[in-house]
Amino acid sequence: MSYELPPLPYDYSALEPHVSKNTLEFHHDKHHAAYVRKYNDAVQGTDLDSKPIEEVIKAIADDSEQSGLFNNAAQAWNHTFYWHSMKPDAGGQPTGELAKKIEADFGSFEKFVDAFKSAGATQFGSGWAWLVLDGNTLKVTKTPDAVNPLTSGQTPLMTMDVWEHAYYLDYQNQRPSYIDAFLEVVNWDFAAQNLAAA
Amino acid sequence: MEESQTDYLQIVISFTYKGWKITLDQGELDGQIIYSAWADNEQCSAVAVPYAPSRRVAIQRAKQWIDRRLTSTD
Repeated sequence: MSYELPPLPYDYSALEPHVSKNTLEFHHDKHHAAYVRKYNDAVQGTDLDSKPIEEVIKAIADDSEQSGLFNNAAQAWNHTFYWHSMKPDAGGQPTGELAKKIEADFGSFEKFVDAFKSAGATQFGSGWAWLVLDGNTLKVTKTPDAVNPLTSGQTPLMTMDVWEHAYYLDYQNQRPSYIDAFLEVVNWDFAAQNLAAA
Repeated sequence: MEESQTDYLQIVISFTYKGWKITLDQGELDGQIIYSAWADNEQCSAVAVPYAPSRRVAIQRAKQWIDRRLTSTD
């Protein structure tokens, strides 16, 4: 089952000045597109070809012989999830059930922000920071390279790409500045929808 | 929502370095030619260098990325 590169859910310049049009063009049209194509090329003709990409990711996460396929599958999925984790005129604080649960599980929204920033800033090298539902508890996690929380039974609610290609054009090596910018466009509605569906 | 104008990789050179395949991709940014470098092996496919102003710099930084990667996993 081939995985199609989804269009961005907003205009390329919609996240400016926090994430530039240039960054989104390169990140989506080249980097994400390449992961999608590499995944489709690798999965074609295998027993996994008929499965949705989420099932492929879970099925081969612990199979070292399939690590190349896993890398491209997870990177294709992670980026799609990342695009929806941002939106124009967003940021701020969540509302409703998500806000209550963040307050309950982290102690306060500010403590969540501290944990999320720390996860993003301290992920060595390339990877991702996540807000996940683990059992019935919200947690912040970080994963290296392509790894995502689907493989450990957690439900991702939103994610931030901390690979250098996500921010270098706008912020060079200043990852903390990019993290601050991400929080200006974080899509709490998407996270709330994922929580409600969990 | 904007239709994707997907600009697939425009590969200009590909070679092997310490077991990794380095692939240089050419793009254009504000009228200037720039380069990205992918590093691939059997386990990983990574954008080692997101943006570089020349092939030389892209290759140099891709090799440095691989060297750091090998050092960190030793």
